[in-house]
Amino acid sequence: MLWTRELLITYRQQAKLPELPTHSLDQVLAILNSIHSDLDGEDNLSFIEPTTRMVFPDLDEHDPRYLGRSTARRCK
Amino acid sequence: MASETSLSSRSVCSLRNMILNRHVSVREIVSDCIDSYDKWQSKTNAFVSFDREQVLQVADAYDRDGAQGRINSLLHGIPVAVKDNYLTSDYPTTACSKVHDDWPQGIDSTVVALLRQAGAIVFGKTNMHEWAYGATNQVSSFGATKNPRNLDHITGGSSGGSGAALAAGIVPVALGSDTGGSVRIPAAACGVCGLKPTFGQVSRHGILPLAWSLDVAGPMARSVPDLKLLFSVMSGVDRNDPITYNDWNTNNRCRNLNRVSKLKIGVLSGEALNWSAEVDRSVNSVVRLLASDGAITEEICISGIRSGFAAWKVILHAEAAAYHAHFLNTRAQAYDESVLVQLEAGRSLSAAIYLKAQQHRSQFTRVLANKFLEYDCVILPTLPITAPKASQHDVQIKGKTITSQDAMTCLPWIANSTGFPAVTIPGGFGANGLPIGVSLLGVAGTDYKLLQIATWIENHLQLEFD
Repeated sequence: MLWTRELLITYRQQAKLPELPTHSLDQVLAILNSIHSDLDGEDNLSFIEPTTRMVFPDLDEHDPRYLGRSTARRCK
Repeated sequence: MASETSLSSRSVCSLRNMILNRHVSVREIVSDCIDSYDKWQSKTNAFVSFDREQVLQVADAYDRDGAQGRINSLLHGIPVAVKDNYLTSDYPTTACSKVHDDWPQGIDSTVVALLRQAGAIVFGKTNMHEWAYGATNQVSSFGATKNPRNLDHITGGSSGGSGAALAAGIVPVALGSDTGGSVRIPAAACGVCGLKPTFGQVSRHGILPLAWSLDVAGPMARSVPDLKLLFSVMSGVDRNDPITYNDWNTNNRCRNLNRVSKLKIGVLSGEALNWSAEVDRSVNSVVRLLASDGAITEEICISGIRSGFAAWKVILHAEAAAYHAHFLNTRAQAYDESVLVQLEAGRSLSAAIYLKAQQHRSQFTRVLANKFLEYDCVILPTLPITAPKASQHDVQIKGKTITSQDAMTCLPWIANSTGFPAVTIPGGFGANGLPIGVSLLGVAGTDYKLLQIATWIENHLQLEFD
Protein backbone atom coordinates (compact mmCIF):
# COMPACT_ATOMS: atom_id res chain seq x y z
CA MET A 1 0.00 0.00 0.00
CA LEU A 2 1.41 3.37 -0.97
CA TRP A 3 1.00 6.38 1.31
CA THR A 4 -0.69 9.60 0.27
CA ARG A 5 -0.05 12.89 2.03
CA GLU A 6 -3.59 12.90 3.39
CA LEU A 7 -3.23 9.37 4.75
CA LEU A 8 0.05 10.22 6.43
CA ILE A 9 -1.37 13.39 8.00
CA THR A 10 -4.39 11.44 9.30
CA TYR A 11 -2.17 8.65 10.62
CA ARG A 12 0.08 11.10 12.43
CA GLN A 13 -2.90 12.93 13.94
CA GLN A 14 -4.39 9.67 15.21
CA ALA A 15 -1.04 8.57 16.61
CA LYS A 16 -0.73 11.99 18.28
CA LEU A 17 2.55 12.67 16.51
CA PRO A 18 3.61 16.30 16.10
CA GLU A 19 2.72 18.19 12.95
CA LEU A 20 5.54 18.38 10.41
CA PRO A 21 6.30 21.21 7.98
CA THR A 22 5.17 20.39 4.43
CA HIS A 23 8.69 19.89 3.05
CA SER A 24 9.53 17.45 5.88
CA LEU A 25 6.25 15.61 5.40
CA ASP A 26 7.04 15.22 1.70
CA GLN A 27 10.43 13.75 2.53
CA VAL A 28 8.87 11.28 4.98
CA LEU A 29 6.34 10.36 2.29
CA ALA A 30 9.11 9.78 -0.26
CA ILE A 31 11.05 7.52 2.13
CA LEU A 32 7.96 5.45 3.01
CA ASN A 33 6.76 5.03 -0.56
CA SER A 34 10.20 4.09 -1.85
CA ILE A 35 10.49 1.42 0.86
CA HIS A 36 6.98 0.04 0.31
CA SER A 37 7.26 -0.23 -3.45
CA ASP A 38 10.65 -1.97 -3.25
CA LEU A 39 9.62 -4.30 -0.41
CA ASP A 40 6.60 -5.43 -2.41
CA GLY A 41 8.41 -5.24 -5.74
CA GLU A 42 8.89 -7.95 -8.32
CA ASP A 43 11.98 -9.46 -6.75
CA ASN A 44 10.38 -9.76 -3.33
CA LEU A 45 11.26 -13.22 -2.02
CA SER A 46 11.25 -14.44 -5.59
CA PHE A 47 13.65 -17.15 -4.50
CA ILE A 48 11.03 -18.67 -2.18
CA GLU A 49 8.01 -20.52 -3.58
CA PRO A 50 4.93 -18.42 -2.64
CA THR A 51 2.82 -21.13 -0.97
CA THR A 52 5.76 -22.18 1.16
CA ARG A 53 5.95 -18.65 2.47
CA MET A 54 2.29 -18.61 3.38
CA VAL A 55 2.15 -22.03 5.06
CA PHE A 56 5.59 -22.18 6.65
CA PRO A 57 6.76 -18.58 6.79
CA ASP A 58 10.05 -19.35 8.49
CA LEU A 59 11.08 -22.31 6.34
CA ASP A 60 12.53 -22.46 2.88
CA GLU A 61 12.51 -25.23 0.33
CA HIS A 62 15.91 -26.56 1.42
CA ASP A 63 14.83 -27.00 5.03
CA PRO A 64 14.28 -30.69 5.85
CA ARG A 65 11.30 -29.79 8.01
CA TYR A 66 9.67 -28.15 5.02
CA LEU A 67 10.35 -31.17 2.83
CA GLY A 68 8.79 -33.46 5.46
CA ARG A 69 5.65 -31.38 5.72
CA SER A 70 5.47 -31.08 1.98
CA THR A 71 5.64 -34.86 1.52
CA ALA A 72 3.00 -35.36 4.19
CA ARG A 73 0.68 -33.00 2.38
CA ARG A 74 1.19 -34.80 -0.89
CA CYS A 75 0.47 -38.20 0.73
CA LYS A 76 -2.98 -37.02 1.74
CA MET B 1 49.16 12.53 3.53
CA ALA B 2 51.89 11.81 6.06
CA SER B 3 55.31 11.25 4.55
CA GLU B 4 56.54 7.69 4.13
CA THR B 5 59.14 8.19 6.82
CA SER B 6 56.82 9.69 9.43
CA LEU B 7 56.05 7.53 12.44
CA SER B 8 52.31 8.19 12.25
CA SER B 9 52.17 6.65 8.77
CA ARG B 10 53.73 3.37 9.90
CA SER B 11 51.82 0.20 10.71
CA VAL B 12 51.07 -0.86 14.28
CA CYS B 13 53.24 -3.95 13.81
CA SER B 14 56.18 -1.79 12.75
CA LEU B 15 55.66 0.75 15.56
CA ARG B 16 55.42 -2.04 18.11
CA ASN B 17 58.76 -3.50 16.97
CA MET B 18 60.36 -0.06 17.13
CA ILE B 19 59.09 0.45 20.69
CA LEU B 20 60.19 -3.04 21.78
CA ASN B 21 63.68 -2.49 20.33
CA ARG B 22 63.84 0.99 21.90
CA HIS B 23 64.33 2.63 18.51
CA VAL B 24 61.59 5.07 19.31
CA SER B 25 59.67 6.29 22.37
CA VAL B 26 55.90 6.41 22.71
CA ARG B 27 56.19 10.20 23.13
CA GLU B 28 57.95 10.44 19.76
CA ILE B 29 55.15 8.45 18.09
CA VAL B 30 52.41 10.51 19.75
CA SER B 31 54.22 13.78 18.95
CA ASP B 32 54.41 12.73 15.30
CA CYS B 33 50.65 11.99 15.33
CA ILE B 34 50.06 15.45 16.85
CA ASP B 35 52.12 17.04 14.05
CA SER B 36 49.92 15.27 11.48
CA TYR B 37 46.82 16.33 13.41
CA ASP B 38 47.97 19.97 13.29
CA LYS B 39 48.60 19.70 9.56
CA TRP B 40 45.31 17.99 8.64
CA GLN B 41 42.63 18.80 11.21
CA SER B 42 41.68 22.20 9.82
CA LYS B 43 41.52 20.73 6.30
CA THR B 44 39.57 17.54 7.05
CA ASN B 45 37.65 18.17 10.31
CA ALA B 46 38.39 14.53 11.18
CA PHE B 47 38.33 15.02 14.97
CA VAL B 48 35.67 16.53 17.21
CA SER B 49 37.55 16.37 20.51
CA PHE B 50 41.25 16.06 21.22
CA ASP B 51 43.44 16.84 24.24
CA ARG B 52 47.12 16.98 23.30
CA GLU B 53 48.39 17.45 26.87
CA GLN B 54 46.49 14.38 27.99
CA VAL B 55 47.76 12.10 25.21
CA LEU B 56 51.35 13.25 25.87
CA GLN B 57 50.94 12.50 29.59
CA VAL B 58 49.70 8.99 28.81
CA ALA B 59 52.56 8.53 26.34
CA ASP B 60 55.08 9.50 29.03
CA ALA B 61 53.50 7.00 31.43
CA TYR B 62 53.98 4.24 28.81
CA ASP B 63 57.59 5.31 28.31
CA ARG B 64 58.19 5.04 32.07
CA ASP B 65 56.71 1.52 31.99
CA GLY B 66 58.91 0.70 29.02
CA ALA B 67 62.03 1.95 30.81
CA GLN B 68 61.23 -0.54 33.58
CA GLY B 69 60.83 -3.37 31.07
CA ARG B 70 57.03 -3.49 31.23
CA ILE B 71 56.08 -3.77 27.54
CA ASN B 72 53.85 -6.82 27.53
CA SER B 73 50.72 -5.56 25.92
CA LEU B 74 49.85 -5.89 22.22
CA LEU B 75 49.12 -2.19 21.67
CA HIS B 76 51.65 -0.62 24.06
CA GLY B 77 51.58 3.13 23.36
CA ILE B 78 49.69 2.84 20.05
CA PRO B 79 47.39 5.85 19.37
CA VAL B 80 43.83 4.89 18.39
CA ALA B 81 41.20 7.35 17.11
CA VAL B 82 37.71 6.60 18.47
CA LYS B 83 34.40 7.37 16.76
CA ASP B 84 32.27 9.79 18.74
CA ASN B 85 29.54 7.25 19.51
CA TYR B 86 31.80 5.11 21.77
CA LEU B 87 31.62 6.16 25.43
CA THR B 88 35.07 7.19 26.64
CA SER B 89 36.00 8.06 30.22
CA ASP B 90 38.18 11.01 29.22
CA TYR B 91 36.27 12.63 26.36
CA PRO B 92 32.62 13.66 25.92
CA THR B 93 30.47 11.50 23.65
CA THR B 94 27.90 13.25 21.46
CA ALA B 95 27.30 11.10 18.34
CA CYS B 96 27.93 14.48 16.66
CA SER B 97 24.40 15.56 17.56
CA LYS B 98 22.96 18.47 19.50
CA VAL B 99 20.22 16.22 20.86
CA HIS B 100 22.08 15.07 23.92
CA ASP B 101 25.17 16.75 25.30
CA ASP B 102 25.34 15.14 28.73
CA TRP B 103 26.09 11.48 28.10
CA PRO B 104 27.61 9.79 31.13
CA GLN B 105 31.28 10.63 31.40
CA GLY B 106 33.89 8.62 33.23
CA ILE B 107 32.75 5.41 31.53
CA ASP B 108 34.50 3.45 28.79
CA SER B 109 32.60 1.30 26.31
CA THR B 110 33.74 -2.33 26.46
CA VAL B 111 35.79 -2.03 23.25
CA VAL B 112 37.61 1.10 24.43
CA ALA B 113 38.29 -0.56 27.80
CA LEU B 114 39.75 -3.61 26.02
CA LEU B 115 41.97 -1.42 23.84
CA ARG B 116 43.23 0.51 26.86
CA GLN B 117 43.96 -2.75 28.69
CA ALA B 118 46.01 -3.76 25.65
CA GLY B 119 48.03 -0.52 25.96
CA ALA B 120 46.32 1.71 23.37
CA ILE B 121 46.16 5.48 23.81
CA VAL B 122 42.81 7.09 22.95
CA PHE B 123 43.88 9.83 20.52
CA GLY B 124 40.68 11.89 20.53
CA LYS B 125 37.17 11.33 19.20
CA THR B 126 36.40 11.36 15.49
CA ASN B 127 33.68 13.08 13.51
CA MET B 128 30.69 11.06 12.32
CA HIS B 129 27.37 11.44 10.53
CA GLU B 130 24.85 12.58 13.16
CA TRP B 131 23.79 9.53 15.18
CA ALA B 132 25.48 7.35 12.53
CA TYR B 133 22.23 7.88 10.63
CA GLY B 134 23.70 8.58 7.20
CA ALA B 135 26.56 7.49 4.99
CA THR B 136 28.02 10.76 3.69
CA ASN B 137 29.40 12.44 6.85
CA GLN B 138 28.02 15.71 5.54
CA VAL B 139 25.66 16.03 8.52
CA SER B 140 27.34 16.56 11.89
CA SER B 141 26.92 19.10 14.67
CA PHE B 142 30.66 19.74 14.24
CA GLY B 143 30.47 20.24 10.47
CA ALA B 144 31.20 17.93 7.54
CA THR B 145 34.41 15.92 7.15
CA LYS B 146 36.52 16.23 4.02
CA ASN B 147 38.36 13.46 2.22
CA PRO B 148 42.16 13.85 2.55
CA ARG B 149 42.58 12.19 -0.88
CA ASN B 150 40.68 15.14 -2.40
CA LEU B 151 39.17 17.77 -0.13
CA ASP B 152 36.28 18.48 -2.54
CA HIS B 153 34.97 14.96 -2.01
CA ILE B 154 33.13 13.30 0.86
CA THR B 155 34.73 10.80 3.20
CA GLY B 156 31.64 8.62 3.28
CA GLY B 157 30.26 7.69 6.64
CA SER B 158 29.15 7.32 9.17
CA SER B 159 32.69 6.70 10.54
CA GLY B 160 34.04 9.40 8.20
CA GLY B 161 36.29 11.06 10.76
CA SER B 162 38.06 7.76 11.43
CA GLY B 163 38.53 7.19 7.69
CA ALA B 164 39.92 10.71 7.21
CA ALA B 165 42.24 10.39 10.24
CA LEU B 166 43.73 7.19 8.79
CA ALA B 167 44.05 8.44 5.22
CA ALA B 168 45.73 11.64 6.42
CA GLY B 169 48.20 9.58 8.44
CA ILE B 170 47.20 11.10 11.78
CA VAL B 171 46.80 7.72 13.53
CA PRO B 172 47.67 4.13 12.56
CA VAL B 173 44.34 2.60 13.66
CA ALA B 174 40.80 3.76 14.46
CA LEU B 175 37.39 2.56 15.57
CA GLY B 176 34.14 2.72 13.66
CA SER B 177 30.66 1.26 13.91
CA ASP B 178 28.70 -0.32 11.07
CA THR B 179 24.91 -0.57 10.65
CA GLY B 180 24.75 -0.45 6.86
CA GLY B 181 28.40 -0.05 5.89
CA SER B 182 29.57 2.74 8.19
CA VAL B 183 33.03 1.20 8.71
CA ARG B 184 33.50 0.01 5.11
CA ILE B 185 32.07 3.03 3.28
CA PRO B 186 34.56 5.63 4.63
CA ALA B 187 37.36 3.06 4.50
CA ALA B 188 36.70 2.54 0.77
CA ALA B 189 36.12 6.22 0.05
CA CYS B 190 39.34 7.24 1.84
CA GLY B 191 41.51 4.34 0.60
CA VAL B 192 42.05 2.46 3.85
CA CYS B 193 40.93 -0.91 5.27
CA GLY B 194 37.91 -1.73 7.42
CA LEU B 195 36.34 -4.82 8.95
CA LYS B 196 32.65 -5.27 9.71
CA PRO B 197 32.86 -8.32 12.00
CA THR B 198 30.26 -11.08 12.23
CA PHE B 199 27.26 -9.81 14.25
CA GLY B 200 28.00 -10.88 17.81
CA GLN B 201 31.80 -11.05 17.62
CA VAL B 202 32.38 -7.63 19.21
CA SER B 203 30.54 -6.06 22.16
CA ARG B 204 28.40 -2.97 21.54
CA HIS B 205 28.18 -2.16 25.25
CA GLY B 206 28.75 1.58 25.68
CA ILE B 207 28.27 2.42 22.00
CA LEU B 208 25.29 4.69 21.25
CA PRO B 209 22.98 2.55 19.12
CA LEU B 210 21.42 3.21 15.75
CA ALA B 211 19.59 -0.09 15.08
CA TRP B 212 20.32 -2.85 17.57
CA SER B 213 19.74 -5.84 15.29
CA LEU B 214 22.16 -4.40 12.69
CA ASP B 215 24.82 -2.47 14.68
CA VAL B 216 28.36 -3.86 14.81
CA ALA B 217 31.60 -2.30 16.11
CA GLY B 218 34.59 -2.64 13.80
CA PRO B 219 38.27 -1.75 13.38
CA MET B 220 39.74 0.49 10.67
CA ALA B 221 43.42 0.64 9.68
CA ARG B 222 45.82 1.34 6.84
CA SER B 223 46.79 -2.33 6.48
CA VAL B 224 45.03 -5.67 6.90
CA PRO B 225 47.47 -7.05 9.54
CA ASP B 226 46.66 -4.00 11.70
CA LEU B 227 42.93 -4.66 11.25
CA LYS B 228 43.51 -8.24 12.38
CA LEU B 229 45.49 -7.12 15.41
CA LEU B 230 42.83 -4.64 16.51
CA PHE B 231 40.04 -7.16 15.90
CA SER B 232 41.81 -9.79 18.02
CA VAL B 233 41.85 -7.31 20.93
CA MET B 234 38.25 -6.06 20.44
CA SER B 235 36.40 -9.34 19.96
CA GLY B 236 35.13 -11.76 22.57
CA VAL B 237 32.32 -12.48 24.99
CA ASP B 238 31.05 -9.56 27.08
CA ARG B 239 28.44 -10.17 29.78
CA ASN B 240 27.11 -6.67 29.11
CA ASP B 241 26.17 -7.52 25.52
CA PRO B 242 24.34 -10.85 25.23
CA ILE B 243 24.78 -11.02 21.45
CA THR B 244 28.43 -11.84 22.07
CA TYR B 245 27.40 -15.19 23.60
CA ASN B 246 27.22 -16.67 20.10
CA ASP B 247 30.08 -19.09 19.61
CA TRP B 248 31.20 -18.84 16.00
CA ASN B 249 34.14 -21.13 16.64
CA THR B 250 36.38 -18.61 14.96
CA ASN B 251 39.90 -19.79 14.33
CA ASN B 252 42.18 -16.85 15.03
CA ARG B 253 45.36 -18.86 14.83
CA CYS B 254 45.39 -18.87 11.04
CA ARG B 255 48.76 -18.35 9.42
CA ASN B 256 49.46 -16.11 6.47
CA LEU B 257 48.47 -17.59 3.13
CA ASN B 258 51.35 -18.23 0.76
CA ARG B 259 49.10 -19.42 -2.05
CA VAL B 260 45.44 -19.06 -2.88
CA SER B 261 45.45 -21.96 -5.33
CA LYS B 262 43.08 -24.11 -3.29
CA LEU B 263 40.55 -21.37 -2.68
CA LYS B 264 37.15 -21.09 -4.31
CA ILE B 265 36.11 -17.48 -4.75
CA GLY B 266 32.61 -16.28 -5.64
CA VAL B 267 32.17 -13.07 -7.61
CA LEU B 268 28.85 -11.47 -6.75
CA SER B 269 26.45 -10.33 -9.44
CA GLY B 270 22.72 -9.79 -9.68
CA GLU B 271 20.09 -7.97 -11.68
CA ALA B 272 19.76 -5.18 -9.12
CA LEU B 273 23.51 -4.87 -8.45
CA ASN B 274 25.05 -2.04 -10.43
CA TRP B 275 28.40 -0.33 -10.32
CA SER B 276 30.51 1.83 -12.62
CA ALA B 277 32.80 0.44 -15.32
CA GLU B 278 35.95 1.61 -13.48
CA VAL B 279 34.80 -0.11 -10.27
CA ASP B 280 34.12 -3.25 -12.30
CA ARG B 281 37.69 -3.11 -13.68
CA SER B 282 39.16 -2.89 -10.16
CA VAL B 283 37.13 -5.86 -8.92
CA ASN B 284 38.09 -7.85 -12.00
CA SER B 285 41.77 -7.06 -11.52
CA VAL B 286 41.57 -8.54 -8.00
CA VAL B 287 39.69 -11.58 -9.33
CA ARG B 288 42.32 -12.07 -12.07
CA LEU B 289 45.08 -11.75 -9.48
CA LEU B 290 43.53 -14.53 -7.41
CA ALA B 291 42.92 -16.67 -10.49
CA SER B 292 46.52 -16.20 -11.65
CA ASP B 293 47.65 -17.95 -8.47
CA GLY B 294 45.27 -20.83 -9.09
CA ALA B 295 42.12 -19.79 -7.19
CA ILE B 296 38.87 -21.04 -8.71
CA THR B 297 36.62 -18.06 -9.39
CA GLU B 298 32.92 -18.33 -10.18
CA GLU B 299 30.15 -15.82 -10.65
CA ILE B 300 27.33 -15.99 -8.10
CA CYS B 301 24.03 -14.46 -9.07
CA ILE B 302 21.64 -13.52 -6.27
CA SER B 303 18.09 -12.24 -6.35
CA GLY B 304 16.02 -10.40 -3.79
CA ILE B 305 18.44 -7.46 -3.73
CA ARG B 306 15.96 -4.63 -4.23
CA SER B 307 13.47 -5.95 -1.69
CA GLY B 308 16.31 -6.92 0.65
CA PHE B 309 17.63 -3.35 0.56
CA ALA B 310 14.11 -2.09 1.35
CA ALA B 311 13.79 -4.59 4.21
CA TRP B 312 17.10 -3.36 5.64
CA LYS B 313 15.78 0.22 5.48
CA VAL B 314 12.54 -0.76 7.26
CA ILE B 315 14.50 -2.42 10.08
CA LEU B 316 16.94 0.51 10.30
CA HIS B 317 14.26 3.22 10.43
CA ALA B 318 11.90 1.32 12.77
CA GLU B 319 14.60 0.41 15.30
CA ALA B 320 16.14 3.90 15.19
CA ALA B 321 12.69 5.48 15.74
CA ALA B 322 12.08 3.16 18.69
CA TYR B 323 15.40 4.12 20.30
CA HIS B 324 14.86 7.84 19.66
CA ALA B 325 11.17 7.94 20.72
CA HIS B 326 11.90 9.92 23.89
CA PHE B 327 14.15 12.49 22.17
CA LEU B 328 11.67 12.85 19.29
CA ASN B 329 9.03 13.84 21.80
CA THR B 330 11.24 16.17 23.80
CA ARG B 331 14.03 17.54 21.57
CA ALA B 332 12.96 17.03 17.96
CA GLN B 333 14.18 20.50 16.99
CA ALA B 334 17.75 19.53 17.90
CA TYR B 335 18.02 16.95 15.09
CA ASP B 336 19.25 17.85 11.64
CA GLU B 337 16.24 17.75 9.32
CA SER B 338 17.67 14.92 7.20
CA VAL B 339 17.96 12.75 10.32
CA LEU B 340 14.58 13.83 11.66
CA VAL B 341 12.65 12.84 8.52
CA GLN B 342 14.16 9.35 8.61
CA LEU B 343 13.13 8.98 12.26
CA GLU B 344 9.65 10.26 11.46
CA ALA B 345 9.41 7.75 8.61
CA GLY B 346 10.41 5.06 11.12
CA ARG B 347 7.61 6.17 13.44
CA SER B 348 5.13 5.68 10.61
CA LEU B 349 6.07 2.06 9.88
CA SER B 350 3.66 -0.55 11.22
CA ALA B 351 4.64 -3.58 13.26
CA ALA B 352 3.40 -5.75 10.39
CA ILE B 353 5.82 -4.12 7.94
CA TYR B 354 8.70 -4.44 10.41
CA LEU B 355 7.98 -8.14 10.93
CA LYS B 356 7.65 -8.70 7.19
CA ALA B 357 11.05 -7.08 6.74
CA GLN B 358 12.57 -9.30 9.43
CA GLN B 359 11.03 -12.36 7.78
CA HIS B 360 12.48 -11.33 4.43
CA ARG B 361 15.82 -10.82 6.14
CA SER B 362 15.91 -14.31 7.68
CA GLN B 363 15.01 -16.00 4.39
CA PHE B 364 17.48 -13.88 2.42
CA THR B 365 20.19 -14.76 4.96
CA ARG B 366 19.44 -18.48 4.71
CA VAL B 367 19.54 -18.48 0.90
CA LEU B 368 22.79 -16.49 0.87
CA ALA B 369 24.39 -18.71 3.53
CA ASN B 370 23.56 -21.82 1.50
CA LYS B 371 25.22 -20.29 -1.56
CA PHE B 372 28.19 -18.74 0.23
CA LEU B 373 29.05 -21.97 2.08
CA GLU B 374 30.39 -23.32 -1.21
CA TYR B 375 33.04 -20.58 -1.32
CA ASP B 376 35.97 -19.43 0.77
CA CYS B 377 34.85 -15.86 0.22
CA VAL B 378 32.70 -13.77 -2.11
CA ILE B 379 34.05 -10.64 -3.81
CA LEU B 380 32.08 -7.50 -4.61
CA PRO B 381 32.82 -3.77 -4.79
CA THR B 382 32.46 -1.91 -1.49
CA LEU B 383 30.89 1.07 -3.26
CA PRO B 384 29.48 1.32 -6.80
CA ILE B 385 31.44 4.56 -7.47
CA THR B 386 34.34 6.55 -6.03
CA ALA B 387 33.58 9.14 -3.33
CA PRO B 388 31.15 11.75 -4.74
CA LYS B 389 31.81 15.47 -4.46
CA ALA B 390 30.43 17.13 -1.33
CA SER B 391 28.12 19.20 -3.50
CA GLN B 392 26.53 16.14 -5.16
CA HIS B 393 23.17 15.14 -3.69
CA ASP B 394 22.54 12.65 -6.49
CA VAL B 395 24.91 10.48 -8.54
CA GLN B 396 24.65 8.52 -11.78
CA ILE B 397 25.38 4.81 -11.95
CA LYS B 398 25.06 3.27 -15.41
CA GLY B 399 22.53 5.89 -16.43
CA LYS B 400 20.41 5.62 -13.29
CA THR B 401 20.18 8.54 -10.86
CA ILE B 402 20.23 7.72 -7.15
CA THR B 403 21.00 9.74 -4.03
CA SER B 404 24.60 9.77 -2.75
CA GLN B 405 23.22 8.23 0.46
CA ASP B 406 21.75 5.23 -1.42
CA ALA B 407 24.91 4.94 -3.54
CA MET B 408 26.96 4.54 -0.38
CA THR B 409 24.74 1.88 1.23
CA CYS B 410 23.35 -0.08 -1.76
CA LEU B 411 26.06 -2.79 -1.52
CA PRO B 412 27.32 -2.76 2.10
CA TRP B 413 23.86 -3.40 3.67
CA ILE B 414 24.07 -7.08 2.66
CA ALA B 415 26.61 -7.83 5.41
CA ASN B 416 24.50 -6.08 8.06
CA SER B 417 21.23 -7.71 7.08
CA THR B 418 22.80 -11.19 7.07
CA GLY B 419 25.17 -10.58 10.00
CA PHE B 420 28.05 -11.85 7.80
CA PRO B 421 31.58 -10.46 8.15
CA ALA B 422 33.00 -8.22 5.42
CA VAL B 423 36.39 -6.64 4.95
CA THR B 424 37.22 -3.82 2.54
CA ILE B 425 40.64 -3.03 1.13
CA PRO B 426 41.80 -0.59 -1.55
CA GLY B 427 41.56 -2.35 -4.92
CA GLY B 428 42.39 0.38 -7.43
CA PHE B 429 41.79 3.98 -8.41
CA GLY B 430 39.15 5.80 -10.40
CA ALA B 431 39.87 8.21 -13.24
CA ASN B 432 39.63 11.05 -10.70
CA GLY B 433 42.47 9.48 -8.68
CA LEU B 434 40.21 8.49 -5.82
CA PRO B 435 40.45 5.00 -4.33
CA ILE B 436 38.12 2.12 -5.14
CA GLY B 437 37.37 -0.38 -2.37
CA VAL B 438 36.98 -4.10 -2.91
CA SER B 439 35.05 -6.16 -0.35
CA LEU B 440 35.36 -9.78 0.71
CA LEU B 441 32.23 -11.27 2.24
CA GLY B 442 31.89 -14.64 3.98
CA VAL B 443 29.44 -16.60 6.10
CA ALA B 444 29.19 -15.93 9.84
CA GLY B 445 32.36 -16.70 11.79
CA THR B 446 34.80 -16.47 8.86
CA ASP B 447 36.25 -13.12 9.92
CA TYR B 448 39.85 -14.34 10.22
CA LYS B 449 39.64 -16.29 6.98
CA LEU B 450 38.57 -13.11 5.16
CA LEU B 451 41.43 -11.19 6.78
CA GLN B 452 43.84 -13.92 5.66
CA ILE B 453 42.70 -13.68 2.03
CA ALA B 454 42.64 -9.86 2.21
CA THR B 455 46.27 -9.90 3.44
CA TRP B 456 47.29 -12.01 0.45
CA ILE B 457 45.53 -9.61 -1.96
CA GLU B 458 47.05 -6.56 -0.24
CA ASN B 459 50.54 -8.06 -0.46
CA HIS B 460 50.20 -8.99 -4.13
CA LEU B 461 48.29 -5.94 -5.38
CA GLN B 462 50.76 -3.47 -3.84
CA LEU B 463 48.84 -0.28 -4.59
CA GLU B 464 50.74 2.95 -4.21
CA PHE B 465 49.00 6.13 -3.08
CA ASP B 466 50.40 9.50 -4.15
